[in-house]
Amino acid sequence: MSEFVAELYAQYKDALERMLYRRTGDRERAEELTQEVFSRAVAAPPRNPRPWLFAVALNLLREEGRKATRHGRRLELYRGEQPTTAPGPDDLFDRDERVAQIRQALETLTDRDREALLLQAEGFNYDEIAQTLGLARGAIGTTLARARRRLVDAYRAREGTRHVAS
Amino acid sequence: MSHLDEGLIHAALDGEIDAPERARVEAHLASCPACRARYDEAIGYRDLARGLVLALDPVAAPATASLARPAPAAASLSRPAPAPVRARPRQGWPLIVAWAATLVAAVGLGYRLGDRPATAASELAFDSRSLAAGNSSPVADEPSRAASADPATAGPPAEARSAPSSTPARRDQEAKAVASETDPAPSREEVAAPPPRAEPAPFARVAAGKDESTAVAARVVAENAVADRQEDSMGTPAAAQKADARLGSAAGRRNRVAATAPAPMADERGGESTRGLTRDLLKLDGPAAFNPADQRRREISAVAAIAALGGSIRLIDGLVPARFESQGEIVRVVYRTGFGPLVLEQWRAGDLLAHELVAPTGAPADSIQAWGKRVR
Repeated sequence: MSEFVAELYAQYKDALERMLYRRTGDRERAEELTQEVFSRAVAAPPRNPRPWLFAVALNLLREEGRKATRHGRRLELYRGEQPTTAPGPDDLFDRDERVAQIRQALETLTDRDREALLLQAEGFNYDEIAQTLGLARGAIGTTLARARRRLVDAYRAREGTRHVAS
Repeated sequence: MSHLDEGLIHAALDGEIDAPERARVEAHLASCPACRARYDEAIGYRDLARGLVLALDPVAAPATASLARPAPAAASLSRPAPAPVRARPRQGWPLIVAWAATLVAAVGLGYRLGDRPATAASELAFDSRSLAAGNSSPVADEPSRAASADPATAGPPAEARSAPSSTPARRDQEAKAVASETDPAPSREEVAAPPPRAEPAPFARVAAGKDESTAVAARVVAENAVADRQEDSMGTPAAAQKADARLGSAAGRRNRVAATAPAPMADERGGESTRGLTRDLLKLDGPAAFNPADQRRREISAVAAIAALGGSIRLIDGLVPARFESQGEIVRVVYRTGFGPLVLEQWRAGDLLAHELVAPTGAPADSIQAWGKRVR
């Protein structure tokens, strides 16, 4: 690994893993995909690394999703992964259920909306989001507005259902 | 000017419009209640959505922090402790933000943007600056966290700082926040701390000393009490005198905490859930008018807790609140632990939130200290 990519790895590995984990809920996959992103960076070092790395990561995710659909394999998108650290005695809330609901709500968004939201949560500004997703900068505000509204409303609808059911 | 486009509102909120456009947006918001309501609503959506995304992160168990370093002896309290939990300083993503969990709870507990759009900004517990500051903490100006933040993982820079303020109250709040950020003094020691005397083990009352020891934090609080008395005449003479007597002059300190009469002791306040909790230490900054006889504790929602504290709340990073309680001016965030209830009491102290962590009997000292350091 070149020194340049090593630096990128040190700088962006955690952010990439985090975003991928938020998207998939699967830490192992997040780590694997991150490794794949950096292996591609070794093959073709990017000029503008941050948008490039995240764009590759999101492309890999989409690719993986398409393959999974083709093969009829059901992705375990909603599997709540346990944290690597042992759960503490105070972790008694129904957190897993909530996380699953958030993830389900996230799944109701379009790829573009969801990715804009995830990138923004990683601190991307509008220019970077536009660059990563190949969108016009002027569209980012509308994209985020829609994404936020849909996510919150979808989560709220699930939360309401849960309360009614319980 | 026609009504503001929703995308433009969000771009303004995110600090992603240029100055001329911002001026136009602000002018429009000043004259259009409908758009102002939409703006407030957008704040709610933005903050809730962000909270939901952050709530997807894994939880780091509190035990991890305490296991990460040996139990500190009393002497070691006087030196800064290593940062809890964050084993790999650059990453920080195992740290779940407890406030994000509360946001999630707020959605579930009946927070309805559509019902009260105009109050969205104030009901959402966190000023937008906090959310802009990054993934980990609503405290935007926490030096240690800011120093360790990975630029790649930091939140959108100053996204809210440049956003137009829709209400005078909001403007005021933001102005204060900005002022506090630019204050070179360690101005966020909003702590309620024990006086510098030995605590009766194994009980513990923990001050939010951040990287300082509880004793040092206590000193800061008391100094602040003096400073407040000198600068703002906020403190009662009794409290200030106690602080003076204990610590001497603190001229020049700009930290602000409440400097009111000491709160009553444990026995006075009573209540089942306080059994086994230490309350025999002098509290420098409890609400002055607190009277246990006519203040009944009751469970409230997360949103109500936030509202009761004036639009903000402190939580323990990494723990999920079991319930929120109100008792007079005090809001109690109760966490379940293996040792019993861990309670983060807090109350409005002027412009700031004062808080006090009351740990259950039998909780190890290092766990208590770790909890105290993770109050955000």
